[in-house]
Amino acid sequence: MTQTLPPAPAPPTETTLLVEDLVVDVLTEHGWATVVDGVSFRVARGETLGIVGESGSGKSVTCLSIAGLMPPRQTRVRATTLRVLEHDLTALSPKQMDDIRGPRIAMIFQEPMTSLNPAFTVGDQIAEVLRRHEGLSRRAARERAIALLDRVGVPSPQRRYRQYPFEFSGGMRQRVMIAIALACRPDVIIADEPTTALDVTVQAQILELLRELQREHGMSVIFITHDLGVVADVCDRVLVMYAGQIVEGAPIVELFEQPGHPYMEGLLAAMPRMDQPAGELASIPGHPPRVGAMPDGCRFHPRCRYAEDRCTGAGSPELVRLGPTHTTRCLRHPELTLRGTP
Amino acid sequence: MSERASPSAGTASEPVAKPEPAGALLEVRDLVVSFPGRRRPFRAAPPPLRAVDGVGFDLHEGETLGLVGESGCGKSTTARGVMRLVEPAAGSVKLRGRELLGLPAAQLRAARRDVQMVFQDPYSSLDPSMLIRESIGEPLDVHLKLGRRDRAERVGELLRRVGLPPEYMMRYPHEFSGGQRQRLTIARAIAADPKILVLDEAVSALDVSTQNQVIGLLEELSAAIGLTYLFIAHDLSVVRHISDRVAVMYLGQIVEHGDATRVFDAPAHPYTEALLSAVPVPSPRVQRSRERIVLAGDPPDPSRVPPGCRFHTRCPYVMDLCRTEVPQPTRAQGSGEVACHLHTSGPTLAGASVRSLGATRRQRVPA
Repeated sequence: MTQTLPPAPAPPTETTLLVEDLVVDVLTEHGWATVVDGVSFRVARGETLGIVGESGSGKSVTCLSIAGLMPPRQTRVRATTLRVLEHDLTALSPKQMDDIRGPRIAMIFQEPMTSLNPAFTVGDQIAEVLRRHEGLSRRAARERAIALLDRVGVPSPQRRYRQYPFEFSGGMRQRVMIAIALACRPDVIIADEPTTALDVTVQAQILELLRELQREHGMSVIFITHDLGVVADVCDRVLVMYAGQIVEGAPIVELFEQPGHPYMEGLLAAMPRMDQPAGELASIPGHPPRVGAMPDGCRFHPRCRYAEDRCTGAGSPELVRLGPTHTTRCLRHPELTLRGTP
Repeated sequence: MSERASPSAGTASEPVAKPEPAGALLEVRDLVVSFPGRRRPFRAAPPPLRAVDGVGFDLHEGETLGLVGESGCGKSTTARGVMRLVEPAAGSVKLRGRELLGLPAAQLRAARRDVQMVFQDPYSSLDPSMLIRESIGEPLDVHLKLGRRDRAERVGELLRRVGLPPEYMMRYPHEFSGGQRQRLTIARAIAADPKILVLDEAVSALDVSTQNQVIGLLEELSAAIGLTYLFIAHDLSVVRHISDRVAVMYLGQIVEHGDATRVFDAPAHPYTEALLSAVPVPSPRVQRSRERIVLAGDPPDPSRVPPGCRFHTRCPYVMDLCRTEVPQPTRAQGSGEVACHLHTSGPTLAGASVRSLGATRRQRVPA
C-alpha cells in the first residue's frame, strides 16, 4: 500500500469510494437472508451520490456495511472490492477500520438524539474524535471543536460546547453531528436520511450547510433518502434500489426526465407536487417483497405494469447500459418509453 | 382568526330531520390549550405555556381542511383540544351549533361519535392482543349496541370499505403491513358513522406508494359517505393534494388561511412563503432554479413568545412595527385571511401575495 495518490486522473474524476459486488446477508428467524445483492458503484471526489428507495430496499444496509457498522454476528458482508482511496476495507481488522472511520469515511444519521451520547457534553464528543484520530491535546481539541461548532452554524459555540445534547434542538443536534463527521476532514461522508426527522425550514438550512461544506472541503457525499425532492435538490447522480439491488443509476436530470426503470417511473408518478395543482396521484400497486421471499426473475415484476412472461423467470435481469452513465435492470427497456417529470 | 361561515356551506346530504344549523359543521373559536410550564427548583412557578393560543376555523360539510406548520406549532394540540383529548383552557368548539366544551362526559361521548381521529403510527394505535374484529368492533359497542351477528357483519362491511377482505377480521395486527394497518385504523374510525375524521399525520409514516393508496382511500370515502376531514400534516405536498382549504400555524396561532390553490400559489404571509420555498420539488431543473428563502434559526420557544408579531424574529421583511404590535387578521386577495403588518402598513400589500415584494426587500435575519 503506497501513500502517494495516483497522479494521472484529474481531481474531478478521482474515485474516493469503489464498491464492487457487495453482498450482505443478515440472520433472520428463518436463517440467513440476502438483503443487499450485488451492489457496485463508485463515487468521485466532490460528487454527491444519492441512493433512493423505499424502506427495506437495502439502501441503509449498503452504507452501514461499507462503513463496517453492521453487527458482526448477525451479518455477513462480502465484496469483490471495497476501497476508500488506497485503503482496501475488506482486508482491514475491526481495529484498523476504526482508524478509517473518521479521517476517511464518516457518517451522519437520521436521529441525532440517539447518535449522540446523552451523558457527555457536546463539546467533549467532538473533541474526543479529534484527540482519538489527530492526537490533539485537550486544549487544541477544544479550540478546534469550538471552531467547528461555529462553522456548522451553532450560535455562541463557546457556551454551547459545555452543554449536553438534550439542551439542543433537533436542527442544532444535526449540526453537531455534522461537526463530528467533519472533524477529521473525511474523504467520504455517508449521510443516511440526515434531514428526514427535521422540519422543512430546518431541512433547508442543513442542506444548504452540507452544500457549502462540500464546496469547501471537496469531499464525496453519499446521500441516502426516500425523498425525491431532496434528491433533486442536492444530488449529482443517483442510484435507485429495490429489494436489495440497484435497479437504475443515472445522472440527476436524466433520471428524472428519462427514467430507465418502471420502478423509478412509478416513484416519480407517485410524488405529489407542491408546486402544481392537485392531479391524480398514482401509486405502485402491492408491496415490496419480504426479505427471504424474493420473486423469481425481475424482483419488481409482481408490481410492474409492463411485466411480461419473460420477466418472471430465470434469474434476475442484469444491470445494462442505456447510455454512457445510465444503467437499468429491466429486460424490456429497449421497447419502453417511460414517463419522466419535467 | 376566524371566518364567518358562508350560508352556502352545506352540500348534498344534509339531514332533513334536524333543523339545519346555519354555518359550519364544526366551528372552532379562540381555542386556547395551555400546559403548565416546566417547574424549576427554588424558582417561582412559571406561567402556563399556551401551545394553542386563540385558534379559530370553520370546517364545512364534505370539505378537507389542511392544517400545516412545523413541529411544536400546535397543530396536533389543536386537534386534541377540539376532540377534548386535552381540555382546552378557553374558547369554543361547536359541532352543528352545539357547544362541546364543558359538556359532561356522557354527553360528550355521544357527541364524539361524530368526530373520530386517526393517528400517525398504526403500530401503536391497534392493540396487539386484540383480534381485528374486536378492535374495529369496539366503537360499535360503545356507540351502536349491535347484536353479535350484526356486529360481525358490520365489521366485514367496514373492512371491505377500506379495501381489505372481510376474513381479515380474525387476524391480529402483527400480521399486517403499515399501509394495511392504517386502513384498519381508518375502518375503526369510520365504524360508528362519524361526520368528521381528524387525521393527525395519518400518512406520514408510510412509504410514498403506500401513502398514495391510503390517500386514495380517504378520497374515495369522502366521496362515498360524505366524510369531512381535518387533515394535519407537515408534508405540504400531500396537503396541497388533498385539501380544499389550508390553514398555516406558527407558534400556536393561525397566521394565514384560504383555499389551497390560493395559499400555495399566492402566499400572503412571509412564513407561508418561506415554508413553501423550503419544500424541495421533485424535479432537478425546477428545484435548482427556484428561489429559496432559508429562514435563520429555530422557531422560538413557545414558553417565551416574542412580543408583537410572533414571526418577527425570523421574518425577512420585518419592520419596526412588527416588534411591538400584534397583527390582526385581514382579508387575503382571493380567499381567506392573513395576520401580517405588511398588508396594512409599509408596502401595504392589502392581501396580495408577499411574493410580489421580491427578493430585494428581503433581509437576512441573523440567527
